Amino acid sequence: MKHTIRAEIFKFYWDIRRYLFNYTVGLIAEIIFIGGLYWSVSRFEKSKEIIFGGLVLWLFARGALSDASTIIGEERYYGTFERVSVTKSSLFSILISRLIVNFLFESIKVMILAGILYIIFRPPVRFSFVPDKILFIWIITILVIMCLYSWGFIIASLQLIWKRTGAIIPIIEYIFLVFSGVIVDVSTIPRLLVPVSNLIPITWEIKILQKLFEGQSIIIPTIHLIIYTIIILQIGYLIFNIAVKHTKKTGGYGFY
Amino acid sequence: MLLSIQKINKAFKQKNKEIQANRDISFTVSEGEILGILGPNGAGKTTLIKQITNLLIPDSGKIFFKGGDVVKYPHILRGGCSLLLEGLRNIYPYLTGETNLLYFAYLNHITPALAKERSIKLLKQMGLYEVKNKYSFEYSSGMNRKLAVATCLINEPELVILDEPTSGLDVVAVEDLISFIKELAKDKNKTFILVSHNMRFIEKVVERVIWMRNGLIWMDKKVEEIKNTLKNKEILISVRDSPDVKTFLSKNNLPFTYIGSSIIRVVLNITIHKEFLSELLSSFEVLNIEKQDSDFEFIFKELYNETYNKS
Repeated sequence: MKHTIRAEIFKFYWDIRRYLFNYTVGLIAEIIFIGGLYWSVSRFEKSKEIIFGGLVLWLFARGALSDASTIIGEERYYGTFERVSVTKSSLFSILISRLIVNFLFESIKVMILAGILYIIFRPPVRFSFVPDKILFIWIITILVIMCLYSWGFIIASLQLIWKRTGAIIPIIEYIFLVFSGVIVDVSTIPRLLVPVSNLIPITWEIKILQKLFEGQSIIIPTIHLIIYTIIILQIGYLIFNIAVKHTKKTGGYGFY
Repeated sequence: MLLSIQKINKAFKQKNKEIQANRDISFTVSEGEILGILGPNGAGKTTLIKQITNLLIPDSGKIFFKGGDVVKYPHILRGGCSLLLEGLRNIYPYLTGETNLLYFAYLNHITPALAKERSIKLLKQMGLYEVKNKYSFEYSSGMNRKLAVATCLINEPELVILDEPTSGLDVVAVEDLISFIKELAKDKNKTFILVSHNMRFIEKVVERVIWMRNGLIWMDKKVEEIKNTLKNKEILISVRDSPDVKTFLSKNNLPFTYIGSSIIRVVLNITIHKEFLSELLSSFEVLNIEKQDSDFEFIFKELYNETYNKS
């Protein structure tokens, strides 16, 4: 795996070198969008730290959901998908390594963005500097990010079979934004849509954070999140293997 | 034995129709062997090599690489086999020549120092060293092809499968590639499977040829054997076109082509087609007879015509 990660860091470095301008412009666009969204929503909501944390998480979610699909789509577009599959690194390890590298880059991007938003809007996020809470928040965030990447992996796996699956990612992104409790309070979501909301990993973190700030017990939702993470990881891996086998049987493995 | 293919079958479904791409394919490849796979378009060559490299799973049959089942244990193949696919789909256009090579080296778990050393060597051998820092989208198609071949050799695999390696290459580059492949097979005991329509290239480089047609192995012979079998045995006859001559040729499954509007050209083997030859000479207006010097290109054309006429 370390060799594959080295390969992906190397490739990513050259990618950044070539497309630095595009990445910078993308970051500015996101600052404008997220800044505007935070500014408008935080005027009506009480819990500004939840909105701020939720938006930062949503930024991660966007990358997590689309990364695996983008990688597969890009490899198929260039026609290199089959070529990289015949190397010492397995397709799975290549995908995971590229996702790790993308995640590290995304983290730097999100930190820059969150930093800029913090300087501009000064949201009340002092809680994160409390040592006993910060570790817990990080663990929960890592679990949620793993869930998000698993969702992305499921979408990418389906994209292997149905090539247009990647096109639905923006819809899922906005469902995540609307129903996760970032812009609409979880408690105000209509009853019928609560199950949808519960499928979204960000919702779990929002719920846990809310309970944490209100001084309530967080054991049950944390156990739920752990179970959810394990299940979604398993499903992601299973669907990926099924999709690879299916396309290798039907002949659609490398087709764009 | 490095590779063993045992009775593989592969069919694809297309609009309620099933296309049998490979039928009962069986053969073996030894270490250090250079094997050529030939056949007209749609013969099932690419399907076959994709199954060997586990990019496709056969409907039935087994593929063994170094004694291990490729479908059951795909990791056996990893690092031991490289594949060059047809067309420009082997390298990243936004990476330079050198970084493409280094990336594939790292994917094959090669250390940075060794990867650098091998990439410089390969870039020099392929005549790309001077342009190593250019993006590959700036390369000509021939240069891209050379770079793609180099990415297949960077990890020095035991088995190298190259699909149309000469497309876009000039005559000198083809000659260089021939020497390079022969050298690797001889000195480093590397095994090559080459799929190509470039008959001159195949004739010069391979030791054995598998000829595929309609998903089947039509012929599996050593190059020398093929040349000796056909040497001085084929004649080319030009006959005046008539309904009777066409009926005669079609009835006896003799491949023919048109030269202009009224002359039919037919190639007969004087041993196999002895009785047809005498009937043709006595019953129809024969315009010319000449000895056919059979090279790979000629054999391929004749086989293609035969397939075409039958269909």
